[in-house]
Amino acid sequence: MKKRLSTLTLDQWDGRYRQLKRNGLKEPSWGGSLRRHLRDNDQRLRRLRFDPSPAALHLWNFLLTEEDRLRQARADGRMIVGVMKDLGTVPVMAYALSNVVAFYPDGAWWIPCLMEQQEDCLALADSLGVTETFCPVRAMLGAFLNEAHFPSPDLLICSAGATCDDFSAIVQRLEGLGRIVHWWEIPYRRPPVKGEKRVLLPGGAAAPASLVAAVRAELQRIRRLLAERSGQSLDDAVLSAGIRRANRVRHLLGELRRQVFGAPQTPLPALEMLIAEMLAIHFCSDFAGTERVLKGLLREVKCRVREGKGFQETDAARIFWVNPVADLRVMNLAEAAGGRICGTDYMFTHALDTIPVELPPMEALARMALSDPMAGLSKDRAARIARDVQVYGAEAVVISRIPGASHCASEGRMIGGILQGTLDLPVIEIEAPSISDSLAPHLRTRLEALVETVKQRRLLQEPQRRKT
Amino acid sequence: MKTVLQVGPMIPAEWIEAHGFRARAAVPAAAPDAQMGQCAWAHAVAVLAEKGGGGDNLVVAASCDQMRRAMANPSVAGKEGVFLMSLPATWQTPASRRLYEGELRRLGRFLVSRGGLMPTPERLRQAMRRCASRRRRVAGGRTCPPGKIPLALVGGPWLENQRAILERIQFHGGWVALDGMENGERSCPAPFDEKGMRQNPFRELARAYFDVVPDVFRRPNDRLFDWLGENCEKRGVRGVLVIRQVWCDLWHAETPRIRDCAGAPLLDLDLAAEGLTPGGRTDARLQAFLETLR
Ligand code: SF4
Ligand code: SF4
Repeated sequence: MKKRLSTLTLDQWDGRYRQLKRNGLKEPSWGGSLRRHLRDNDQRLRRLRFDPSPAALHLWNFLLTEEDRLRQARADGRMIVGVMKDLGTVPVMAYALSNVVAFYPDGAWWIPCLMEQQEDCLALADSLGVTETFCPVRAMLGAFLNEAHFPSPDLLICSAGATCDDFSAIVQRLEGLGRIVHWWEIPYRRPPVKGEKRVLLPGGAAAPASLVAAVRAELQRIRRLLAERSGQSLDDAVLSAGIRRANRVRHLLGELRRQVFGAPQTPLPALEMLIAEMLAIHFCSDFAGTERVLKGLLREVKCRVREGKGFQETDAARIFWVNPVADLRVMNLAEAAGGRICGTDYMFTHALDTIPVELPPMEALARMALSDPMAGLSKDRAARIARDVQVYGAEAVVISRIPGASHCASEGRMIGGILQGTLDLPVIEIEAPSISDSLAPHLRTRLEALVETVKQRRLLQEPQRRKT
Repeated sequence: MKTVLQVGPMIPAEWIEAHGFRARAAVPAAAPDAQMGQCAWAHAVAVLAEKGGGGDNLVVAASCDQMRRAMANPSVAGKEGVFLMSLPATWQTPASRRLYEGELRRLGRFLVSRGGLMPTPERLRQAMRRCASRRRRVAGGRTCPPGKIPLALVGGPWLENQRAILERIQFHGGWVALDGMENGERSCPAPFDEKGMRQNPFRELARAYFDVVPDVFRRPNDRLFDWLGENCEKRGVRGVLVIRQVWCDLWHAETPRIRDCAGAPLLDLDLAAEGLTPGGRTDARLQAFLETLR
């Protein structure tokens, strides 16, 4: 018999937390009730539904206390590096150094959602002329100015080149306001031409060897910068150790994804999975904490799978999700509509792939950086999605458009077209702003229609399957 | 002689001519069916590319995400006679200069594959001298007619139908004293150094473009503001028109900085794909702006 688990509202979590405490819940240093984050104005929590396990509690608390850790790092005299845009490469180098903490100011992307636009980040961005034609990352500009969300970094490192226009324009604006930004080039990953030496990248795409060499040279510059500014050696041995550590997190996540996406019933809700995946990018400013949180989640998931427990019926429509949602609540909505997430591409798949350890470390990092799904052709990204759709047995694809994002104007339709052509799957494109409550009925209807389509297709395919 | 249409900054016409082609800037008109959020220029260029450049070879230099993605559309990517050149955003390192030079060489191979000649150093030198003297002729003799208001135009590329604004500027009493649009004087390379040309014309060509041309997409892009401040003062500019595509983040984000550095009043015109109609809203704004400068 399958056992159905239920998600909890914030109010329900209060009781759950008290009960867990009575039963002797052991908490990490960042522990506490979920409700306390309302004091930091994380109002969106009131509208979300959460996994009821202690492992999920630790995950949320870990995510929502990053700012405290950064401030503590400053107090401890560690160097704080603001890494921007590359989503996963430079932090591997930074965390190889013992006196450095790296974080992504990009994370301000979610401030308008989490705080339900009740802070002044967007107003500050507006006042600088960076209006809503930009994606939600414009909140980062405001966050730099009001210094209310993260401490001002000691060093800013940003990738440029084959990146989105929104981010590049906003960071350039920041530089125009007097911040020193260390730019490094991530070139457009064009396909190798006939006769050109090619390199196979983690994730399966190929790139001309000359581009890998260019990225290696650029990362070498960043490596020198980090070593110089931290006063520590960042030689190959130190870097290799950093890569092995990053791989530990990637392996944990890989296993978590396999377990969750492959289980007969959803053993971990989509929202918690999204947050868990994000830990791979920069370890949420605490490497050991990340490992601990992921191990806890993995234990919980394995236990649920073993006991046949899950959040939905076994017939939930298996959906592959493309792009992160500006409003976290949409992940709840997808499940409420009868879907379950079986496969994701949140634009940082390169931060999930194992970094090759058999290569010299700088070569390995260059290959990883260049495998960024946003640095290459949409066709490459679609090819990987198609592969993962098959691996995880997804039955439909949702492409979530990000309002204002330079890549979303055309990429969604392109990827959708390729997937429909190669996989014969229903694909829909939705767009949700940071607070999508007014659109929720519409979004839900579209997601329900997708679920319905999946179920009808199953019925049609069943006789065929039986025949074969 | 066959024509190569070029789109985007930092494609040296000299390099194209040295391969035996005539270089001409493409100015497409707005194309229908742009997606919400899509740059009308990038979309129009992609549609032109879809048609194989309208019979000519087409070289597109992508300096932004919108253009890269528009050109990555399966109906465009790999189209015969179309070449996508990728411009590095950073410019102060040997690695980025190498990337640019690599793209020029790749462009050269494309041109040869389209029936072009392998350029000898001498042919490249000749093309460089020819282009330089053409530029000098165009740049000479700019004096603002009496009673007109000297203006600077600043921005990226603009569609054929959006260029009607030039007539309206004249109509309302303005005069373009500084052309900071793409394909305008802002995009011109530095004067070529004779010694550099003698030693290695390819390197000198790359230097004159890559190390010098100011553009909004470059990281960092302070040179754009230096260029603007310096030239607005030199030309006695009394008003600045920023002309940009509605969904162009790069120019949009920098408009306030342009305002700060130009030292003259500024009008920000985000143009819809269809451009401007006489008597319409944009035209009225332009008229009001010029009236305040009288
Ligand atoms: S959501 Fe898209 S446009 Fe916005 S910062 Fe991220 S990659 Fe760039
Ligand atoms: S106008 Fe702006 S968005 Fe459009 S192609 Fe040019 S730089 Fe890109």
